[in-house]
Amino acid sequence: MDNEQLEQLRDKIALGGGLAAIDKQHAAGKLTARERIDALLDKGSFEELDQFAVHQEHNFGMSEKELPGDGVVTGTGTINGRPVGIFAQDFTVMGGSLGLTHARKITKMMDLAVKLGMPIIGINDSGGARIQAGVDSQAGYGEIFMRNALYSGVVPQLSVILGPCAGGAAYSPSLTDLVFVVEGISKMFVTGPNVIKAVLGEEISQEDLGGAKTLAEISGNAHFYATDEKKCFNQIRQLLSYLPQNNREEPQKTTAKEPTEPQRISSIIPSDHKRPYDVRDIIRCISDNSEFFEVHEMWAKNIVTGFGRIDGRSVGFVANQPLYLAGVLDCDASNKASRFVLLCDTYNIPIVTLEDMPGCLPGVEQEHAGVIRNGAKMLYAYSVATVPKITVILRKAYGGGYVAMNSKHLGADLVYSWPNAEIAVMGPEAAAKIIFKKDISEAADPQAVLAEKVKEYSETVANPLVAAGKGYIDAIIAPEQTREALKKALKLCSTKHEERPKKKHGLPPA
Amino acid sequence: MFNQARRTSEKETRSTTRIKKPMDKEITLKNANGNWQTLTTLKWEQRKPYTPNNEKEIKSEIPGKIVRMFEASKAGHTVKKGTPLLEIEAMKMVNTIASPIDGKIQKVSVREGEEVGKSELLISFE
Repeated sequence: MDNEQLEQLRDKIALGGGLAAIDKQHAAGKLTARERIDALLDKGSFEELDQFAVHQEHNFGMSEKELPGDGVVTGTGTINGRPVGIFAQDFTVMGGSLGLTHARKITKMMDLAVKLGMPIIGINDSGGARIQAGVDSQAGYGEIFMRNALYSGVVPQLSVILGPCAGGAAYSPSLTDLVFVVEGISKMFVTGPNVIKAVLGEEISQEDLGGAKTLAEISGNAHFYATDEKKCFNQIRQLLSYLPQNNREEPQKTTAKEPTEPQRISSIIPSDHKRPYDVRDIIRCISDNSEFFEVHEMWAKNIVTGFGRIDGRSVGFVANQPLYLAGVLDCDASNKASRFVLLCDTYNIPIVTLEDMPGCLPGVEQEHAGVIRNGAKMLYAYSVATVPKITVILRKAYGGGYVAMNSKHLGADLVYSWPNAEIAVMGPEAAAKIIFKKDISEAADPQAVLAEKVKEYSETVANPLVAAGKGYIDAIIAPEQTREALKKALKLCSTKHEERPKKKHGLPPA
Repeated sequence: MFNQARRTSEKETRSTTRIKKPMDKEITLKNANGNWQTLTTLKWEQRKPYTPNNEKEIKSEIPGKIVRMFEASKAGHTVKKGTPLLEIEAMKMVNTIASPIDGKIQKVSVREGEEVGKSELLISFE
């Protein structure tokens, strides 16, 4: 084969399913697999693998068909100058359906990426299993799933849903670390609207069932939501800047920039402790350059998770959000935060916890939804994490929530409290009603006695001095000292080393 | 043990050997692979059917107490998106509920001082 023939073949393969199919892809508002790779990676950095791979199906007229690259483009490249492994399913080739070669190209790239210690990015745009491939297609999915699971916590794995990702295919993204979706383009479900209608008679549109917004806001299957593909790729590039290349490395340090309005920090929390505020404003007073890159921004808004930097170091923030549902810990919030804590732990990212939480959400719905086993995930995640763990109690720290939000008792390295914090086993009113039940019921004016007892309880218990007196809080700091305190704490913790008892693996609550 | 799911064909009339408890309910599920006779679970029985989100209804997101009704929240009033309508106190926190849309209020279903449950209808728009 001479050079010219080879080039012709390359050009043909690069066209995927052909010009008509590419036009169709563009008409649907989507980029092609190769355009996506070029847009995401550093310019000219992509090195393709297995360009000449051929499909392995022979029945049902498949022998006569040519499927360039077998419907997936794989290879390596760089993002912000750091290597990544990448695959992008090519919808123009038989709907991006997954046959054995398609799957083996993906698993081969994954194996290489793990051996070389670099993140894996998967761009999903596929009609699902290639029916003609039969059980080989199921085998292919299984081989991908197993690698998703085994490589979890070894190198970052990101999934980008840029088209349909239905049926069994939807499980691979869920096994990866973080999932990105784009408005109007992403569709992810196990059974589609037609099946639901046939089996249950319930009618729902694809968009409402598993469109980008549903995935990001209701089910929480997606961590990042963007309005177009370009913005989604920018999110990926930004996210990777906070993560190390693999679990043996630390995240890259950058030059620290001061927050834009650090002095605002002392005026964010309203003087009336029953009034909400946006805890992200506090994070932006603490983080370098006031940057905060939120993870799961739209789902379980009563807890905030995301990345930022303090003194140039990558940090994971977990913060109760009084603005939504009073900042209670419910099932979704616990799932969101505990997974994030484990994500930080696995990639050596220190965790800064900002606490202002009134407790767990009471109610039949939450109890029946398993708030016990779901809430327990918080306790589990913080307890097992060995990265630097620092807590700042901003205001309320009540009940089990106080324990769950990276308390000293779960192994926090340093716990700070702001002077006006309320730390107690329950709220003053509820506590006073129990402790002074008799005094109140026998009083001539029960309301007055209740008010007096609430005040007494608040003054004696609901303040940081009691906990500080017992050593559960290391220091009481003013809001405006918070960034300095965290800078020092993170520096101190940078040489932290903590061993855990040897075991095969733990059993997190499910 | 839930191990008795079984494909049924039209010809098949053979009775099952399953041990059925009195509270067990049997249903037939249809999917692309045929019809399946199976038992349901309690959770399945109690599941809520899907209802699309209706932005003309404000529902309580959390169980709590209505501590304040604003002037604007009266039936017949036309309000702008973002107009404060009521305050609900839940979990030691007072939250202001603002109008999600520009619209005319059709009905106010709660009063000041009232306790509300989760997903309870508070205000509906025309």
